[in-house]
Amino acid sequence: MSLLECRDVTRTFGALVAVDRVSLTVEEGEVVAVIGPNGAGKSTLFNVIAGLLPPTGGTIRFQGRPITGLPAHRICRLGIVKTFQIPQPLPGLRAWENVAVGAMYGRGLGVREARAEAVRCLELVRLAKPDAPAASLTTAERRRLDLARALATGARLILLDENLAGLTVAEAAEMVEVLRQVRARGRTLLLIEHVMRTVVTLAERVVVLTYGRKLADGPPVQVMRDEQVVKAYLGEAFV
Amino acid sequence: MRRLGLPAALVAGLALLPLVAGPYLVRLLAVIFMWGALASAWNLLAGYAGPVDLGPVVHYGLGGFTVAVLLTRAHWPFLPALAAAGGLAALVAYAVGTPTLRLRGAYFAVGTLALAEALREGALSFDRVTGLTLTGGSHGITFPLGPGTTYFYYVLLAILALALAAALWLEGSRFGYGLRAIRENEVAAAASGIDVLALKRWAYCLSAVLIAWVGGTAGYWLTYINANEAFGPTITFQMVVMAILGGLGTPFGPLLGAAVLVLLAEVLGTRLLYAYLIIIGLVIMAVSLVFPQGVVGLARLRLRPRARPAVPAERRVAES
Amino acid sequence: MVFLQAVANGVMLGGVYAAAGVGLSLIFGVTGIVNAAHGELMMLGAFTTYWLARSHGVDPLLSLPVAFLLLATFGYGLQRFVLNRSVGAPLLVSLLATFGLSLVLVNAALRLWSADYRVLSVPYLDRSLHLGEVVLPYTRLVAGGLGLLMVAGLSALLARTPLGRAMRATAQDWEMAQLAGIDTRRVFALTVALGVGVTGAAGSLVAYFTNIHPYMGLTYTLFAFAVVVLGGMGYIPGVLYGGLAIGLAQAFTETYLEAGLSLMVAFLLLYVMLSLRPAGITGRGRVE
Repeated sequence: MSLLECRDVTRTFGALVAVDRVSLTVEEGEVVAVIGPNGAGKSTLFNVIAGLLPPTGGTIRFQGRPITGLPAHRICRLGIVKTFQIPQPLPGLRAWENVAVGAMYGRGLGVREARAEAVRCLELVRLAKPDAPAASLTTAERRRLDLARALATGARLILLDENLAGLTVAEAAEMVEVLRQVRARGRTLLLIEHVMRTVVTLAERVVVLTYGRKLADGPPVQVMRDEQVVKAYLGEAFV
Repeated sequence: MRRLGLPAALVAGLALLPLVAGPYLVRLLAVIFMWGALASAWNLLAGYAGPVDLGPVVHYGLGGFTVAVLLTRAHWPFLPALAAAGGLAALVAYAVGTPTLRLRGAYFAVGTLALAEALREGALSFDRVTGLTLTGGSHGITFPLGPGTTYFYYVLLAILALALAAALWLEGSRFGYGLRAIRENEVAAAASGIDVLALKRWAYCLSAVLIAWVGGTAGYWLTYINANEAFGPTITFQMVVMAILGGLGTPFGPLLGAAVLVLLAEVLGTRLLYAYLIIIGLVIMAVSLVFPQGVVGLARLRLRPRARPAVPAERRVAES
Repeated sequence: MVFLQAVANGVMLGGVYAAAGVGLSLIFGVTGIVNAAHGELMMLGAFTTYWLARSHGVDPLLSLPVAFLLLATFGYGLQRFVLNRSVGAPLLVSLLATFGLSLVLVNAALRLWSADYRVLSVPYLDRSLHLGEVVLPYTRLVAGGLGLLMVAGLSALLARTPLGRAMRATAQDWEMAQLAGIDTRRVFALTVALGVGVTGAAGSLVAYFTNIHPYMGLTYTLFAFAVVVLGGMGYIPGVLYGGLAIGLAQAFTETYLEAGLSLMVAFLLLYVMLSLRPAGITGRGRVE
């Protein structure tokens, strides 16, 4: 049984078909990257999987159990959590409080245990300032805060929406290390990424989306050589 | 709950006060307790969870009329009637909150205001339309004569203490963290496992019960209730200003705001009622435009450790 | 027929309500300000017309432009010096600030003019037009008609003039408008001036057929909100739908149920629309 199974997932906005019958599976422990040109529907797909948007069609199963159309908070408690392209901290709370909220509501812990879990998660993502007000953190730090909060929810599947965008080379390298550690602790990662270097080093499998449809699905090197993928990204001339 | 020592001592002190103080002070404090309780109750939802409810009079009036009817029609004793009013308010809040709390920001504010006005109009016309005598139309209902001011002093003090206790509880509890997460970033909260609607609804119900209790007590104290005043926006204005002025989202801020405004009203007296309300209006304009956190919020900001400045931007990773 | 009379009443009211709502919608659409003092501005317009008629014998129809200009100036000052801070801030900031303003205006009016109900008498409009069995009082007919003219005039201004274009651009995206060279501060101030002016004029219209008193504002604020939400927040032509809907609702409630409930019905409509379809009947409203 796959951890995540999407079958013909579709999401339209009026006449615009953002996600067009996408089917994909993710096995436990994998790291799968979702790539594609801008506007290909990657973020929308993630929002649908995480329950932030209901799908217009198709089904989604998590650990064999149907979760299609469930609200975000239910899906989070069941074990899927998503980080945001633009980090979404809780600005008026401190860093540990931000993360602890994830532990409290994603996992059902009490305040004291949540705090302990929060400190652990912050250490894992290498954000060593638990008492800092979230509003004072830099973008890179907020990214890590988001990730820490996602970890604290105890979710088995973490959807990362362009977690590396806007980071410096050094910051990105550190984040990749963190993600490796996260993966080593048994979480499954599904990530949207534009940075090819990361994709190749982290991901075992790559899924390519374009115009809402899945174009390719396989190991990175194979996918990137695929004619259709090259055409989609770079145009006819490069095939 | 470590900081419970000082407030508890204060409450104990206040409980003993009527034994030594004169009737004027007791009445004045009772009024402060009443508005303090209203503002604190309102703060539970607006300050901690976020939604700005401009129709809290719905619960106030409901509490008042429930107690009025139970006292005059069914001849219940006061405290059981008050308890019943609270129960009814909770049920109504649950029913009303479910659709209404889905509204965002200003729409929620306008929606609750519209609901309050609709209820006011409905209550005024109710008797005439249905032929029953429930709300007394524009004449209102007269309560049986109640005990003296000291009795109400204690009842209002008790309600205020409950409201403050609730706020203090929210400061450190799981429920409180959930509400604050919703206030800070609703989407992030939902994505972290928080059932936003359910939590907001609980806060709304809690707030409603406290407000209804004040409404019931105030009616009995004043021995009179009428739909125009009990469901009217003047009460809302004052509650809201007190909470915002004193500090939204802090446990004692609303009480402070209430004390300031009640004292101001005392100073201005009944002759200058218009001046009092105009000042409130100007205050709310100033506070919302210049410092939305209110007085206590400002003090809080200064007591917090200084945040370190953000790291300057470096070269960004190029997108491939 | 009673039914036709109710429809006629509703349509006449609809014209006035459309005018009452258009200022609110315009201001919200362009500046994002939610004006909770809207009804009080109408109240000021109503009082302007009343006092000009009572103390100086000015014909109410002539005092319409006066009410407009007076309130427009007030609106300009309000935006430039007070409300400007709330542009770009969360909606609640402007809502609360204007909430406070309404309190100031109501109590200032109470202080100046007392809570007494006033009635404007316009002798030459005291008769009615009779179409078959339907009675159309001239006061309401004229008010409704002028209301519609005001809405039409505003729409034309928005569609055909450079200022109107600037307003529409700013409404769509004020940062982009700024980048395109539009002086958004001026546009905001002029928009609020225009919006408040029209609102004052609408108040003047209302004076023709209702009681004038300082507390009349809140009801109209909520009516205006109902009109605008039903028609679509920020969508100017929508006020025609909204105005008609509210006008008909009130007329039918007054005819078939009972006058005291008409406000309740309107507010319930607003509430239901906000809950089920915040973008309004037309679906073109801004939902934040």
